[in-house]
Amino acid sequence: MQISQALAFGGPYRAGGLVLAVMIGAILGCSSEPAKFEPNRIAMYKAELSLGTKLDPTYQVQPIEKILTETFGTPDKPDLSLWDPKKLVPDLAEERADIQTEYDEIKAELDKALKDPDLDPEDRADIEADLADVKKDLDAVDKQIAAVEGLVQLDMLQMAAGPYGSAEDGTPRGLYRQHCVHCHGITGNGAGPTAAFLNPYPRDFRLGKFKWKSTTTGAPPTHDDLKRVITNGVPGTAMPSFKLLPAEEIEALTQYVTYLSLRGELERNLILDFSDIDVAVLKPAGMQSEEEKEYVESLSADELKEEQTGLKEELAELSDPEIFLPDYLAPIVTKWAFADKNVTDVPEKPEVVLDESIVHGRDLFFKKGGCATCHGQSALGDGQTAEMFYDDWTEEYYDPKNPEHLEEFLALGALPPRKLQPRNLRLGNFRGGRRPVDVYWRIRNGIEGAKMPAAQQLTEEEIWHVVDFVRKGLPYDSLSQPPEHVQENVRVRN
Amino acid sequence: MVLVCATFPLIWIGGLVTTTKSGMAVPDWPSTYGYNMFLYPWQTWVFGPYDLFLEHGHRLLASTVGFLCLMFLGLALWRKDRSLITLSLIALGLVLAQGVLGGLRVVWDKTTIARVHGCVGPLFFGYLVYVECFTSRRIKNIVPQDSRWGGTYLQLSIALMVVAWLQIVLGSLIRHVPAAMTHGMFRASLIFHVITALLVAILATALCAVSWSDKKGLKLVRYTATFTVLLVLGQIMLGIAAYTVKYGWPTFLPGAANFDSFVVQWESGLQSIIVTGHVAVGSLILACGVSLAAYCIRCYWITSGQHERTSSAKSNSSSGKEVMA
Repeated sequence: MQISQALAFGGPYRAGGLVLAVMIGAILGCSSEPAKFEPNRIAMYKAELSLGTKLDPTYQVQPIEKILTETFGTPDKPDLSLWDPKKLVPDLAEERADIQTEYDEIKAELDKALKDPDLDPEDRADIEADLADVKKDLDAVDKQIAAVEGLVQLDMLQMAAGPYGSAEDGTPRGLYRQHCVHCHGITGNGAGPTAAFLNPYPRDFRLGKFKWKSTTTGAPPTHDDLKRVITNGVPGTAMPSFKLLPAEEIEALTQYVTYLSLRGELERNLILDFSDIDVAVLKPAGMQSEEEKEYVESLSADELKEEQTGLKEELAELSDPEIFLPDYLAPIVTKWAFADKNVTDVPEKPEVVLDESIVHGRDLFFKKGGCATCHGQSALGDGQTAEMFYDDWTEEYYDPKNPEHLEEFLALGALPPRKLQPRNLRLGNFRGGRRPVDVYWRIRNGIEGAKMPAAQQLTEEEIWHVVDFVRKGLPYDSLSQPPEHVQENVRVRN
Repeated sequence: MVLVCATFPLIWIGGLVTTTKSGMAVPDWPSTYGYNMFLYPWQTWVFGPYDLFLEHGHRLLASTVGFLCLMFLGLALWRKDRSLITLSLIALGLVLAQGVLGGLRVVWDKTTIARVHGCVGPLFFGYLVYVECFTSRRIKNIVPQDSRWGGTYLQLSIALMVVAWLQIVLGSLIRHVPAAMTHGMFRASLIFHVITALLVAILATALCAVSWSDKKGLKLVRYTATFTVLLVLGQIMLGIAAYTVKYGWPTFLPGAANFDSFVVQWESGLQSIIVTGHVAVGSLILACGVSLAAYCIRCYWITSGQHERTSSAKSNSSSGKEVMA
């Protein structure tokens, strides 16, 4: 009797067990193959939507994957063998060669002059000065080349890539998979396993956009910017602080994030350009859209053949490292390598009495700065924001005015869109850092990818006033201890 | 003579369980993210090359447990107790399997095996608790009784045991997040983990309520059930804390604004204490579930005759020892 009861009880658990078995089975199935970079299906689908036809797997999707693997390797084995400065930054390499020749010439001249016993000391000084000048130029170019070469280094990437563990000599391996992958994903698409529950969502590196940086809008972050976020974490979010890791490991992770961003950007650019090529004539019959079919049918056999060969040549050319390295990778790499040039200079903070500065800042906050529009009259982040504010990472796949394809993007692994929330400034806390300079950068440059605009209408001095107001002038409301309402003294009143 | 032989394995297995608790149940989840390496050297084991001492320590402990299992088998053989021999053989098999799994996990470096290893660990621990209960005096002191609550006791305790283990399996999915897992899958396991947590809480509370309302009920069950309820409550709080120290305050809970300036410190001491604590308490809850089930089966499973043999010998001890748990 009891046994039968126990069985009846077992029902729900069996259902649970079944779900579990399916889940474990699925995971076993997934984890048994080596880690792979996921193709950017969302960007591909977006391209397909705008084209009105499917991308061709053989001529469009596979070449992109091939190029990416050739330039970046795999998650287990990063490969930078194509990263030759001569190809990536040919101008710099040429310039360096020219300066080197010049240097050698002057050097030879100097050597020759030194052998001359009747050398005029003034002449000698002149030649030496020339040599020093050229040497300076040479060093400057070398520094730039070093910046390109140092952007991502293979030994650092190897520390971060692959399954976690350590190499034979004890250097760590797989740091990215140890610390980052569960949120940011193998590809750095910000859609790792834990992503759905996190708010804000983990950053998708593939757009190459980062919020907490010192550079101007549109420019990639500097190396130090990324490192600062990794080291300090982002307060109030799931992004942890990795302060406790050794400096070398933080460096490796920073470079790996850069690596994934470069890869993601290159992939997006390639998808855009490959999808621009009309491969209708090469597509198998089943893949063609109506329009394409009509077009192909309108061609004679010879015309078709001619177009096919031409197209194949064009595609082969695009897949040639000689072409895609300088045309596609180089612009992205130089943008990142010379990000320092775009750092916004922070002028010295004017020396004004804090209270005056705050009064000034408050005025700017409500009027000229227009901050209150979004951040609200009380700076609680409750202003009248447009209903359709989403960040750039969401707008990759979600157009709030035209949300019809959302379901399809979600099925491809996109995360459900979340509306942007203007910051509640009264918490006394800022995600990008609370140093005055951090707040200055936020106001001056805006927040990349979010809807916070750069305050171009404000002068440097005015920005400092707003910084003072935002940091010191707002009443700080700790939510756990809301300000108490002052009780009126009834006896006094009566 | 019989008494000495009966007490000896009791003390001895108690020792085994204690060893197991510190050596197996606590660090039974390979530390995938590699924290708590330095603060809790005796607690974490995988990630061998990261800290050889830990890995080695874990292996030493595991071998000790295996050796103790062998001794248990020897003792059982010496006592020619067929049921004990079977029990010890199963224990030995489990510990060997667990050892092999642990080895494979290190050699193949697969999170899947780590997860399985992490799930078998508590299973082995639970089994040992069962063996300990089975051979202990207090269970022999239990007089089988026919109670109208009998069926409920059985169902609740067995269900608690099963669900507690299920919960550990689900927890392992959250703990060892495979890189290739989709976010939908993780969301599912997390939601399941929370649902199952509630289920465990409900079962434990129900069992506790039943045991307190049943005037003739076993004190042993009553106290263990109460302890379990407290553990589960603590475990739920630990679980929320564990999530918070890893991913920030859960967004699905209210009060996120209070954590606005909270920065997650990766690999910090706090993170390792809380997460390991959550894992350890999970195993402890399983152990409670197992012992509850053992007591209830012993006490209320009157229809089955196979336990008569062991019970006939010792029905003369005092009831005072019941509270030994």
